[in-house]
Amino acid sequence: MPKEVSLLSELRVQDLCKQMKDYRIEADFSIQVGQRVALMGPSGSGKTTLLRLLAGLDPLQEGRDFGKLFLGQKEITFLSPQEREVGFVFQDQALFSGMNVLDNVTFGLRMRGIHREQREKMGLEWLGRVGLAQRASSWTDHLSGGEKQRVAFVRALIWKPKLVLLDEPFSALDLKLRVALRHELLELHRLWPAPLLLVTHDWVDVQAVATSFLSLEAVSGSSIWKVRRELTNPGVFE
Amino acid sequence: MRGFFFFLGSVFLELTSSLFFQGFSALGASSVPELVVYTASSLMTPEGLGPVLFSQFEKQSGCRVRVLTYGNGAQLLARLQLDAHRDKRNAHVLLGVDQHLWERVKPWTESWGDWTPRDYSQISVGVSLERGILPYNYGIFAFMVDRQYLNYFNLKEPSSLLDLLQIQWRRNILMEDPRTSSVGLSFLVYTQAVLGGSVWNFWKNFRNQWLTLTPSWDGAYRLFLKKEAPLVWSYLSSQAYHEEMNSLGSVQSRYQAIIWKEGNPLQIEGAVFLKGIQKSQVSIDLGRKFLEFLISKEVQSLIPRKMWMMPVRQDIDLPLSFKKLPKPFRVFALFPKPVEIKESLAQWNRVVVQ
Amino acid sequence: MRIPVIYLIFSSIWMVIFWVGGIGVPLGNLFSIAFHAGGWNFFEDTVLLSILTMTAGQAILSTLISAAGGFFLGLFLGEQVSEDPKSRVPMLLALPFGVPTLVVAMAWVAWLGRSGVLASWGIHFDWVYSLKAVVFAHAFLNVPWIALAVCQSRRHVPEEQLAAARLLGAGYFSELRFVVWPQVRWAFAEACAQVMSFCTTSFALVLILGGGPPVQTLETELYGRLRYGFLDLSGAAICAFWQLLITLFPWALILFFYDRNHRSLRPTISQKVRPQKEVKKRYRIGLVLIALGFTAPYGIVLKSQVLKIFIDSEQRSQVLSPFFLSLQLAGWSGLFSVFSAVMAVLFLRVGSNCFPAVSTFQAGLRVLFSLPSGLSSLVMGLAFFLSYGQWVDPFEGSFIAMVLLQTVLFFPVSFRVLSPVIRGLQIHQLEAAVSLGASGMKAFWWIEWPRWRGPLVGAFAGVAGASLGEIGAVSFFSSEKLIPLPLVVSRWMEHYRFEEAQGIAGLLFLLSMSLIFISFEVGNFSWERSIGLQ
Repeated sequence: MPKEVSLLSELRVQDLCKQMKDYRIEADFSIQVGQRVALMGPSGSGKTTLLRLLAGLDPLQEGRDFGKLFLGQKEITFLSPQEREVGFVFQDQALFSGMNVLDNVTFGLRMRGIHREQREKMGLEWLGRVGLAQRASSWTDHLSGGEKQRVAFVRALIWKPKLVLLDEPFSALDLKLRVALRHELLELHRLWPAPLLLVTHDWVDVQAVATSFLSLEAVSGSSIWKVRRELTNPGVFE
Repeated sequence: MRGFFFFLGSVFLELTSSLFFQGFSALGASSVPELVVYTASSLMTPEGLGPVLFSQFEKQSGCRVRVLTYGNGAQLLARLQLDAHRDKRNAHVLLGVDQHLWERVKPWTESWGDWTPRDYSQISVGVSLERGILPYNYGIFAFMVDRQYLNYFNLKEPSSLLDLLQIQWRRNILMEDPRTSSVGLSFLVYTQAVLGGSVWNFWKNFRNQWLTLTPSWDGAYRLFLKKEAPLVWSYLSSQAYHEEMNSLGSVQSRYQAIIWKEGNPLQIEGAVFLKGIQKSQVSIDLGRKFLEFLISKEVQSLIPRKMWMMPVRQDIDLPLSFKKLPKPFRVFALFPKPVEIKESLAQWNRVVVQ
Repeated sequence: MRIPVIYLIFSSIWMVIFWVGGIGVPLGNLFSIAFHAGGWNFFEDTVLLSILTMTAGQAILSTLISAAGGFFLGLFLGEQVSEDPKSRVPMLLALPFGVPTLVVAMAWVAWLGRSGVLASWGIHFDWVYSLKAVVFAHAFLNVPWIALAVCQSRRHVPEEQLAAARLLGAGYFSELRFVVWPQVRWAFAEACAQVMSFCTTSFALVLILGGGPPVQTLETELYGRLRYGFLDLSGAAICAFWQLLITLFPWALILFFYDRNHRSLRPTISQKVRPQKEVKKRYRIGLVLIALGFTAPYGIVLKSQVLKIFIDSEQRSQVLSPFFLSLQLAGWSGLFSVFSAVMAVLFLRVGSNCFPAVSTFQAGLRVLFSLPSGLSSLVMGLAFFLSYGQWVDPFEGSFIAMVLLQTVLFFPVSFRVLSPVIRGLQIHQLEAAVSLGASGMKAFWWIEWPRWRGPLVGAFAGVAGASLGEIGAVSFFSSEKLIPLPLVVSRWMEHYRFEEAQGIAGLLFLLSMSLIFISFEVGNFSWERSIGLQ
């Protein structure tokens, strides 16, 4: 386990209240280092919105929204996405079309000033872990769905973020690939056990990957979706 | 809304498809005798001489006049050359050749032979040309000045060619390009006649004096009327135009022609027979009648107010605005040879363009 | 699912007719006559060399300034309108393209001239009628064109990619460099190449604003060599040849750097449509004003004279026939040009499926299809005249010759608009429709036609707008019965009717603006649809 792991800390979402156009999201939960939490809920309940909030892509608006976000002792409520150190795997991967695979995965390292040789070394190493080292110079257009997802995982984790968010990472994959990618995600998370929040519709994903799960449920008679913590899943694969 | 536009589009297609069949009718298919005339487009504006001239001639001679307009005289010459390339010499008469173009047009013209137009002796001696080209109007070139502009900016009117090089005239003159405008070419030829050997020195300095060089007279004159500059090389008769159009009646117009002791150059415009006229005796007869009609009193009296030029006949009573025009000290009738013009333009290019 | 080969056959036949009959034969004939007439002593002609230098110099300078302004403006506007699919900003950026260059020149004289509006406010510009004025006018006219290309590309950079970059630590400039630039650079480069073509063949602006020699281009030199007595076909052909070289040079650069495997010419589209953010009305108005700012100055030509043309019975009678002729010419040129462009894109698409050579040389063919934009209208007019004029009665003129000539000249405009449409062909959706029982034509009508409609109308309007102001080519085939409006302008000016001529210029301006506006409204021109996002 790398030395920097000791720098990881829990995610704390404190009394969060986000007002959307037609509904409101309320959340209060925490995710510890090493935990993998699944977030489930009906379509339109605001799962992706919550992820984007945590990433800083849809920030809280002062005067309208409430709550605080902490990574350890550090409050990140109003920090920019660049400053939050959050790794994000988008639903459609969002790989950079102007770059090859190696450049894609090492982008975060490049932004942190890591030298080219070091970047390439790390990139090839991580790509090797997911079986894509030989595809390092390929353009992302030429990859299959599963390969793109792997690249997205590596890109999100290689630079050691403090928090990892995944938005339905397995939704477009067949059964065999899902099994393989769940396994790889777990392997990668073992290498870098930052708090991980995963949005999914699939109960099997929850059982296979998550250590616990949250659900977004409607508060009856209102347009409020509230995050409810479920019990820790004892059947998870460690 | 979209349905409306689609309906409009369908109507458009219906109405315009017939236009595609235009242009393929053969020449000479009519039983009425035809006279084919090439002329400058300025002649054919509704207020110009062309509509009256051709319609009257058609009535008098019982023929049909087919007119092709093509820019100015020099462009007409280019058209003749293009026709020669395509071996299509169908035109009978060319209207709008000045004395500078005459030598170049000659290879495409047909001589008069023994024929002389009626009233030929009525043409003023000063504007006579050699047989083969019939003058029908003339103009005297001069600088037109905007008096109000001069007074406002306290500028002194130039009294000679060399005055144009004074610092006060820097970027205050509108001039035409001698390569594309007969008016501009006349100025070039005029400076050569007046200045002799020092002409190219003059032009080397003069290129800093114009505000812009326009490809044709109308471009320069438009800018002059927009008050971009107070001086433009134009025609003496432009003063008459403003005099007549001036809504203040007897009060002198702000736009006036200036003359100076060095004299002013002359432009004589004429009509010529083209080679195509030889195709039949009918066209020869019609062509002769047309030329005689051009110098008839009836047409010559229309020249001042239809063309804003001077009639060639001595016995035409000019409008008052023309009578009030300043009399030049001296009038240059210059007849450079084509090869001289070509050399002059080449040298001008070297001095001005490079 | 493949497009039937019959389309390939038909489009190939049309392409041969178009390129051989419309360009090959006339130009070949002209160059052949020119060669026999005088030979190619170009390098001894120092005057021509200095004109060539000026032509290339002003074109490069104008393009660089347009590129700098247009790139950043396009980026800014693209970012703002990326959340607003119904934004009018792209339409407003396209408006200046339709303004006839004669109107542009007149407008700048009216604004910047010594007796212009700004001079009356005490602001004097010494550099009107100089190279600076020409470059300024070029840049002001072309900045919105480049901005439009960049704006359209930028607005479709997937938001997720930008978000991913931000999350990975990228600041604004890193986002720009690594995510945005690869996806806008080819559209930007092609727009710059088009601007270079325009500036190289510039005529009216140079003539009116340049102040005369030494500010002149090969096009103005061509004009002199063809129109003034000493018919110099050889010299004109040499000028045309060098013009073509200068305009093809940027396209050659694009071809050289374009990596087919990179596929970066194909926009990367996220299939997820982001929910529209509420854009403040004030802000929206501000964006519209910025885009409109590039067309508004030309409105100065609109004076009471425009109304007088229709109110005064005498003027009306003189203008009505040329007015309708110009509309008809614009309409038919637009139709033929759009049809030719459709054939060209079909040829490229279907041909690349059937013939490896077409696929391999697709980029080169696309550059070739831009070639007519580098041809002088005067040269093409002359070339057409020499080749086909013998079948035309000069006294009747020839409407069809005018149409075909303008079709060739403005073909690149419609090709540019329609080319992305065919690349966004929704094969899977068509297959789905066919599997559900639709015939090929019905599948096209329900699936593809909504995508094509807008760009077709947009291409038509672009060509029609350009046709309205074109005079060089049509003058060869006009007659007393066929006088388009631009020729009426020059005639009236030769007869002291300057104000009325300006009125017609204003009318031309209104017509071309209306065409572009109608095309956006009727066509509901939507970039998303044209590339298969909706």
